[in-house]
Amino acid sequence: MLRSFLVVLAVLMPLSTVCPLDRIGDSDLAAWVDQQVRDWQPKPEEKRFDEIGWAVDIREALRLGKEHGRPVFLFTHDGRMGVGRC
Amino acid sequence: MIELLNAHFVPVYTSNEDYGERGSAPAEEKKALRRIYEEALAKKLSTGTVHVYVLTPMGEVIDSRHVAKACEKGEVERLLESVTAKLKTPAGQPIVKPRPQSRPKDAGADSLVLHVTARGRGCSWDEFPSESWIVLETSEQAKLLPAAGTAPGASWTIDRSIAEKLFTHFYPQTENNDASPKRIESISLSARLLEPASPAAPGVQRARLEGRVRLKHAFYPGRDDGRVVDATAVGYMDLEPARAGGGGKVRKLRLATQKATYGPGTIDVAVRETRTD
Repeated sequence: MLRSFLVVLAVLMPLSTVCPLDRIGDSDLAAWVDQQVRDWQPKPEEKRFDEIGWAVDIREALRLGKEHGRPVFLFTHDGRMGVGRC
Repeated sequence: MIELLNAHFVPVYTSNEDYGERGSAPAEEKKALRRIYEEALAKKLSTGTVHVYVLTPMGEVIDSRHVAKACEKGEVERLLESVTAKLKTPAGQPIVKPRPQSRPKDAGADSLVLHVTARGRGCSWDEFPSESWIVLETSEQAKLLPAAGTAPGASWTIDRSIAEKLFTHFYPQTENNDASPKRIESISLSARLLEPASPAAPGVQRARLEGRVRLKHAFYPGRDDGRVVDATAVGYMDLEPARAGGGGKVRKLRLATQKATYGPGTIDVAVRETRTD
């Protein structure tokens, strides 16, 4: 009986120390929050959009296209593509 | 595609929110977009509001794609290559230096600039996180701080207006980008001054943050689908407390959701300061 109880306890103990759904102690707070913040930041592979040299607006793109002999690629959209809100 | 755009084109993107009748884009910008749209229409090319248009170096519309077509694998690459071949555009360096497209609004030296990342899990497109920026001016930071002389262990309630600024961005990628605090049904954010066991710097104290928000947020604009965000979050802030003759300052502020749901899924939201001094 005691052995079974200890086995259950051994299984549950690690869970209780990492489970974020329960109250996080003051001493663990900063480490836990910092870890979540790190884990949820945009990753480089999610930011490839930033590798493109976007002009600031249409008139600037047209001016630069003419000046450098480059065609203009225009994408019109709903939302805010630059911050992933679209 | 990135290499093609950088080497042969001048890429630009526009938001219909800005270029619509009530949008904030300058009239000349709206006129320029209108001209492109009408020219594509006159040339019997595809047109639309979520659309790719390609223009010659002289600004004439040469091709276009509806977004649904553009999303087909390889379609945009083929479009770019065909235009490059037709115009014989030599490869070169990007005309505009690439830079992060997610940037905070201009903020003063004493402002606290916070970055919000929200990730949907099973309730959004999920492939990418969405980002928001919050700027708290000095007077707003003061509303986060405890009263002068507050002792470790004491708690206080954060001003609702500040809690709203933080929590109103707690939603994942959706078609609806209305981040108005009017959507908030209930909200709370409290702080408790911790014992200065390991202060980040002399004179800096740490406070524990705990908050909860429930806000209505329809997935599509203008459609009441009953979806709400229900979130609890914990975090901390490092602060220089207010003293007689001094206003105090927030040096660091971080929050992370503990449990957050939206529609059929969950969301993970992280708030962090972006500069400390």
